[in-house]
Amino acid sequence: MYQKRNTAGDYKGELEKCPTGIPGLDQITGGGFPRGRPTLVCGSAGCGKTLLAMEFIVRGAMQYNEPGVFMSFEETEEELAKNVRSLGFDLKDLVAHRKLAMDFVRVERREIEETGDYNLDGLFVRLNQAIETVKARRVVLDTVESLFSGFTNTGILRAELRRLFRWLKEKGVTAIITGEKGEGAQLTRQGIEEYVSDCVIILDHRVSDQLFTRRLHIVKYRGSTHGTNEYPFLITERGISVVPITSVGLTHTVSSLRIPTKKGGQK
Amino acid sequence: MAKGEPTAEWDLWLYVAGQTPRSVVAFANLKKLCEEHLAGRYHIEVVDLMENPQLAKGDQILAVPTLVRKLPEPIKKIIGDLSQTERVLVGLNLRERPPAGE
Repeated sequence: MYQKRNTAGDYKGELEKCPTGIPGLDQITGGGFPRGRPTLVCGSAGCGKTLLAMEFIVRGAMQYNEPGVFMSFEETEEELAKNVRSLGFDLKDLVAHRKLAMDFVRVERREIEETGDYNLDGLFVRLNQAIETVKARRVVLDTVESLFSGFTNTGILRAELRRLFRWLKEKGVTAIITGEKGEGAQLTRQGIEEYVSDCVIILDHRVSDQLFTRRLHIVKYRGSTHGTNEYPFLITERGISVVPITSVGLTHTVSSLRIPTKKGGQK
Repeated sequence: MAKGEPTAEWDLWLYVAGQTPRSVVAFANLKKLCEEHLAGRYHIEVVDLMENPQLAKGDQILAVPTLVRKLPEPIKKIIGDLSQTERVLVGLNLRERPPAGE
């Protein structure tokens, strides 16, 4: 029988997806991000990483009844709440209803004396605490690379990040890790794409011929088909909108009604 | 001397996550150092984040073990198992920082 297929990924046997609820994005990812795995979203400053991550969490809590944790390394809870209020997102209300937990992690810029061996169990404890309080299914770490400015021992840090991403997978939460655009071939400053290998998305914005365009590109999506183009997207008053032309489904029903036109013939 | 005072002059909090070998070493190092340099003037509070996870947020703890000097102010943080005594002393302001170019 004819099957309606207006998204790219209605294929059977693919890995389970976690819908973002962002118009257009779920179409080009074939249903959303890989469920239970971390996705890396990277791009330069101002490209919309934090907003995309926040929408993923807010829409998850509001539309899909999946509570989330937003761990921020750059902006405080108040700043974040203020930033997205204009989009109609009420973070305080979500927190009050135990659908969202926020934790601002302040990374001191090398003010800390390092004396011998340590690990980042403090971070794990905090994240775990936040996940447990709201029974979170979704987690955002924005931007975890900030840790590199606070600790001098990058060997320990890299090992701990690797452990962190593995731990997130074991927890079964769908995560977004954001990263600042790196130099040269590296997607992120510290090359964390090496540890997050399931799904990688690049956000970009440029001005050409005086036209400002934001673009989204799925660089990698392990175990899934996905749109491979660079898709323009908008940040509107209702959040992010990725509107690829392929998502305009031809779903109108065809009329079989006969309508006489009375043209010619009859006299 | 701080005799008879309700709070010690040096208030030191050691954050650990469970009774790991590393946290035991950190505590032993701290105790030894305090006895040598701050005898009778210090108080150590050990906070196990496994039992009190909510306390990690207040002092912005990420690394474990972390030693927080609550008193005397300002607050200072030192991370690691405190095995490098010289650096701990510098971190606690008990020693001058060595000239640059380590």
